[in-house]
Amino acid sequence: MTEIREEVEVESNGQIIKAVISEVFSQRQVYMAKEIKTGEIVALKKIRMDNEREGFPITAIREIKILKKLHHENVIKLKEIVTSPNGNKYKGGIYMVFEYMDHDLTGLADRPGMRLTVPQIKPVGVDADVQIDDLSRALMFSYVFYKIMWRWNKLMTENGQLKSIIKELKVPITTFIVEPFVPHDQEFYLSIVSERLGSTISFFDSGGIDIEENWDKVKTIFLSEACAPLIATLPLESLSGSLSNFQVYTALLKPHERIMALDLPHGGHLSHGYQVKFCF
Amino acid sequence: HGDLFWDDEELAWLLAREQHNPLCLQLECARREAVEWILKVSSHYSFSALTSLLAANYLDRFLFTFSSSSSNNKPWMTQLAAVACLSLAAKVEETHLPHLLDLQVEDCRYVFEAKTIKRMEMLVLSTLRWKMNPVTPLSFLDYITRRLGLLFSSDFLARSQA
Repeated sequence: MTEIREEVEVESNGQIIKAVISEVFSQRQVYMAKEIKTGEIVALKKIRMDNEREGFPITAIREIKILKKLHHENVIKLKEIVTSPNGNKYKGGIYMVFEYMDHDLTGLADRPGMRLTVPQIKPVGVDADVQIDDLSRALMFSYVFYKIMWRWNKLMTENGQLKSIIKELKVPITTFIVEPFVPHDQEFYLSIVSERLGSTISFFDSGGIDIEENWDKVKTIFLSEACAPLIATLPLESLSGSLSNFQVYTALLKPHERIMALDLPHGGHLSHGYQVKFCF
Repeated sequence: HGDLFWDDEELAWLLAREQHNPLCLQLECARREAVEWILKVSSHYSFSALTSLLAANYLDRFLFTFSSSSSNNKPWMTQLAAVACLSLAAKVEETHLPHLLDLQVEDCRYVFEAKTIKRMEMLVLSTLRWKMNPVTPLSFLDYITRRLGLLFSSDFLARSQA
């Protein structure tokens, strides 16, 4: 499928693993690699070290921090971080090792006549149905399918696992503390406490494809006739961007874990307010 | 009243993840000096309590692992490690970061170039095996205040952290 460009050795926990690196997206420095020992195919993403003035890039640290905290079948797994020893063109390179995915959303959107089949979408539908005992979580999951596509770079394997990968955030991030769901009459409330004023809950700078702009294309791919009944049960578009985005993120977090978002001066959005209560 | 959504599992999880790293005695002195410096810089820049804790945690784990493998501990090495650990902790936790050169305030005996610090950061990261979210005393404090129903009393938490 891809041309083999180079063999490199990467070091993992002191052990050297040989990997065949072939370029998938050269401009993004993401590679397909095969571990010689186990034969496992993985994706390597090189951490960029352009700016030496501020040391190890903060964006990479935060990306790793987020990815390590997200354990969800719909979120791509950061397997480990490896370094390549000196002596070749990848000198001192640090790579994040991900599961290998066959497609990303950009590729799917560009493929004419592309339609996903029911089995490819179904795992997401199942998610919405499980864990009914925890109403709040079930509500969360029902939004995942729709909103997980917002701005997040999508990767799709042949067997129907929807994965997403968080792109590097390029600016300082503010943290929010996610408070638990508090039953209030028949509804569930969630309060978000911003640690600093002026912060928002949004990931404007993440994702490979702008879903909002490309919604027509994306809709064609995901909402084919066969899949319509599955999708129809989800409360699509009942909420606008920031609220729905937030729901996805909370669906992926445990109570009291943190969501990081952009600061107002760096592209955050005023509409997300300061101290807020979200009502479902 | 406490919130029903948490139970003992979280406490068990915290306890299970907590690590103890006894440090050899000869490094104890250099370590104390470094931690005091970290605290000074943290208060200089009004870093959060968690940032200082993380920095100290990284430093302890780094020194523990590194001292067992190498015997020559020069004073500047601990200082460099402290700078790198504080820088990393701030990157993990803080919103606004001072430049690496500006980070080295409060009576630094040595001032390191950004390039040097970066290399030390990478050494620290790989030594810590990229585990940057350890359990800290604040994790317990946080848990306990919630269990005791002090959920919305952020003042209490702030005062406790101070």
